[in-house]
Amino acid sequence: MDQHQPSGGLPNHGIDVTAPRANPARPWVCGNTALGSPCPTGPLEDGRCCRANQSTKPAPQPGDCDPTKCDHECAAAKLCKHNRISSQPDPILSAPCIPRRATWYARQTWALNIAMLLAGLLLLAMAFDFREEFFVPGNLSAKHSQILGNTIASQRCSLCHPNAHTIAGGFSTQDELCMHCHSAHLPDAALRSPHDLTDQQLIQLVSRPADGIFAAEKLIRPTAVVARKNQQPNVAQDLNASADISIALTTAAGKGNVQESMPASGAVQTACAQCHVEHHGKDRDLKSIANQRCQACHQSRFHSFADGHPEFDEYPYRTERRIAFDHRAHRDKYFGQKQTQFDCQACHVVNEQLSLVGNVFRTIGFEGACAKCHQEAIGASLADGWAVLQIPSLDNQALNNPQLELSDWPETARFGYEGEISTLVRVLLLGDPDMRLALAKLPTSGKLSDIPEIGQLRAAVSLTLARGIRKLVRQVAQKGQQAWKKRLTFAIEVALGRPPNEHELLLMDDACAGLPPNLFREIESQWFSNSDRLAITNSEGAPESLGVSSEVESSSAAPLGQLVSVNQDDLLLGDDSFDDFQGNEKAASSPRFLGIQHLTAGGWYLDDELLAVRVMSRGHADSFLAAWNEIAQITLNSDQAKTTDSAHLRLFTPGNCTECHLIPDESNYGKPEYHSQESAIWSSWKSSYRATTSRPFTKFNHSPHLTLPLLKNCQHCHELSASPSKTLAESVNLVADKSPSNSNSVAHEYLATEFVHMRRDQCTVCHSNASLNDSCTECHNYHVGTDGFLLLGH
Amino acid sequence: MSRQNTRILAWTITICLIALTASGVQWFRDHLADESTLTGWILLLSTFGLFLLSERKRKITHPWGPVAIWLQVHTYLGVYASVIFLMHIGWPVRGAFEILLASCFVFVACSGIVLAIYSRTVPKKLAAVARDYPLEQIPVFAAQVANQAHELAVQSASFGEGATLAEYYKRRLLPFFNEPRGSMYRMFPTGATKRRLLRELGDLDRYLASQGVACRIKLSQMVQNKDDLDFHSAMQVRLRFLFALHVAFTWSLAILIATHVILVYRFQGVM
Repeated sequence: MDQHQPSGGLPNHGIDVTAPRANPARPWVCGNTALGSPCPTGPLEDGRCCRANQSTKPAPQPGDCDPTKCDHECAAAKLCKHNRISSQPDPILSAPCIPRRATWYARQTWALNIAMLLAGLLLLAMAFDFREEFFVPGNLSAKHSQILGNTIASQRCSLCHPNAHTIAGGFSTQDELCMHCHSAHLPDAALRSPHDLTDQQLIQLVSRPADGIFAAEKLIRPTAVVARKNQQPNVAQDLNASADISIALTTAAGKGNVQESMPASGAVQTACAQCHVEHHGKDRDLKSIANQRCQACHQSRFHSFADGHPEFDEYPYRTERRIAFDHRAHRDKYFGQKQTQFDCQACHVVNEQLSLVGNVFRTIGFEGACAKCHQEAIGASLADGWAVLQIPSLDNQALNNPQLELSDWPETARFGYEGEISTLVRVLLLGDPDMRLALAKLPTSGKLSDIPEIGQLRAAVSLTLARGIRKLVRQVAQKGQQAWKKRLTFAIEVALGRPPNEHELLLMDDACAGLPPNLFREIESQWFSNSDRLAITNSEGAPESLGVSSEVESSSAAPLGQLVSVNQDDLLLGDDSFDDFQGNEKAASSPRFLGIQHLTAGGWYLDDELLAVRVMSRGHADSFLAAWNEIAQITLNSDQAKTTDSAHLRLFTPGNCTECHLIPDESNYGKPEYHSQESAIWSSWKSSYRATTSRPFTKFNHSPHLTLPLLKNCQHCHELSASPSKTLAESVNLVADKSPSNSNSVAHEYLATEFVHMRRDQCTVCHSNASLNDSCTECHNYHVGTDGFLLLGH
Repeated sequence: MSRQNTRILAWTITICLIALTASGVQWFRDHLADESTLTGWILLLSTFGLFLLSERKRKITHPWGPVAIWLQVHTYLGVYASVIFLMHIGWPVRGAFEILLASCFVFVACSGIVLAIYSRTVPKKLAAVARDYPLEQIPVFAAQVANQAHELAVQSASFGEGATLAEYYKRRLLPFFNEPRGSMYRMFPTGATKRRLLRELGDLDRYLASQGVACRIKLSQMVQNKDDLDFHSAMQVRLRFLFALHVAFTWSLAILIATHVILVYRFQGVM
């Protein structure tokens, strides 16, 4: 290749590309460059021509030179009369020039000017009020869009960004600022842990052994380090101990392999912005999360819902039922007999209301679903009200024994050992230490006549219980509801070995609500009118034997654990005080008080004829009855406080509440599954509502599905299992041990298999890549928290 | 290694780097990490690498390798940075400042791409011209050609063949030789005007005698020379102007990038 041939095969047009070129980084170039003859020296650094300081000789004139000595170097050659040709440089080109700015320098100046202009504009933009609008990297989402409209600077960017203007409100991280507003509805999100769960919950959640090691090493240990840094050595120590236990359990399982199970991210703490990306405009859904983000942590990874998603695990029947409703028996037997159509939506759908699962409810309530058939039977059982306290009939001779202090026993209750000790009285007497032995001898029916007549057992038990009832009446007449509540507290302490918890305290409030002390004073004055020791009007001067100071006192006449001694002679004595004629006359003077006539809206009254205190319920959902059902189950059937030698008590309350209501045992109280809208106290009695604020791991909205013709038939998804040999009622009745807990477990077992579990392919028909949305968050909540975790049954 | 093999190798390395970065971004995304931070820092380092070409040009006495190699690295690094830029930004770009930053980057990147194309096509087009003209000397050459044309047109009137050529010169060629070409020509230089003038000059031959034809042929040559000068000027000025813009906005880009980084870390609470 020719040395002067430019690369790329371009022809050379006489330019010597190898010739030295001027330094391109010089700020000035020679003014003669345009003429093609720049001086080799170039301008000086200050921009002056290099010839500016050179002395210039005046141009020679013709005649000034000697032609004979012309050396062809004359500067006036053009004017030479001898026509000599000058070889001297062009005088114009050799004269000082006016240097010009180099192209590079001009370019740099231009760039600098533009940059300075831009920097100035940026500074200007920071100075004006619209700086947020200028620097904000996109509009906020719809729910946050009002933030930038705030007038106070600290309420704009600083509301979310810690250092936007100043250090805002003592919060140091962006997540803490998020939680400043969102802690109300996502309280557990402050943990900044996966699914807002605690370390222990995560360990329980990841049930595989290897995951236990992962949870210990990747979740608990780092948290312990943080705690230690935060000067919390005790917390750190506890966390490390927790991690050690987890690893020990995992190792014991024998299959721990951290490397296989550890999520690649190894993230200990989550950040809100990891999923919720702001500044993407008003139309951006902050809750939309890519499926890949979920699979960043989850061990079993799959392609899509239709391809690889794990099969459903007992969905949606994982939770326990609270109403013992036998769907198949109702459809095939009861509705069939009445020739009524068994329509699921009649009991489960309320189009005007929404729940967590749309417009579908587990039941729409008694009035809407059950009252049509069951109201009459329940009403009949409540016709006379519930005899919460009935003065039992005792033997007249025994009552005359002054040691028993029962001389004021009503004259109309002295016909021998008859009558029934109600569940309520049984619980209240449980609070009296002297009564425990007598209660243990009382049969489950509560009837005195059922006490075996062995020796004087019936008399002893009856009289002991009578003394307890007498004391109860006195205390309530004197102290009112306070006495009742103290007995309940003591009964629960005896039964459970601990003070009542929050739930039980609420139950006690409702169990005492409406109790009229004046009714018991009336009992004292009318039924026990022959008492000469009653001093209820002056509590300060109340006799020692009648008053109960702060605790339920022991009877002075009978030591703890002993039945009263029965004097046979006393029992044989006649009763002089009884005046049959007088009593009949008093009864005839006024008509009998009937609850069904006089207390149609519910309330307490005295049944003077049967010497009973009765309560008329306020319809189906009576909180007094419900509270006593639960309290009775807690106290009378606990292992510590079995009041009978025989099996568990069947709760005898009007309406047979427990026939349909599966009251949970003590361990289930407080679970969010049983939370109702207004209060947790009645949650176990209501299955029609699941709070929309609950965030279980899996969510489902029936409303859009019920618009599809195929799915309007609920049994398309909720398919009844094969016909069992017995109905629910038959199964429960066949159980030998009819304790409430055992009956409940039988019912739960029966109901758990009532429906066929749903299958994934029932959903993938529509929810697949090709048709409907099949993203993870379509069916799953991320922010689960403790409430949602407990819904899993942990 | 041949030029073609070098180019294949360079493209292979660039594509591999892009694929590697894309995998990293996906890994970050799948593991709940902030992929914007990854792409942002890669972009920042790439942009810094692109700035180094300017430094290399200043250091003419240091043995940092030929500028040609630096220019090639600059070109392929620019391609890489442009792809990373697309990974880094969300679409559409929102916010006035972010739009300004993205626009500045896009302008610098696009001007760089156009410059890369021009640097490969313009020399071939200029080589097609009979002679090379340094840009600084083109005004002098243009003045010389105009003077010569003027003298020739005046001279043609003295041949006794009439004033056809002189009148045509006065009417059509005088503006062509003495006035600058239009802005459209400066942006997209074509030979249309030259061909039209040459055709019109050729059509004058029927009115000219032998001396006039010889004079017309000289004038046609001068038209060709003037058009060559204009073509050279337009092509070189366009290249230099684009290069000036490319360089000028890099400083603005640097300021905007610095502001962006400060804002990001400041608002994240890191700074």
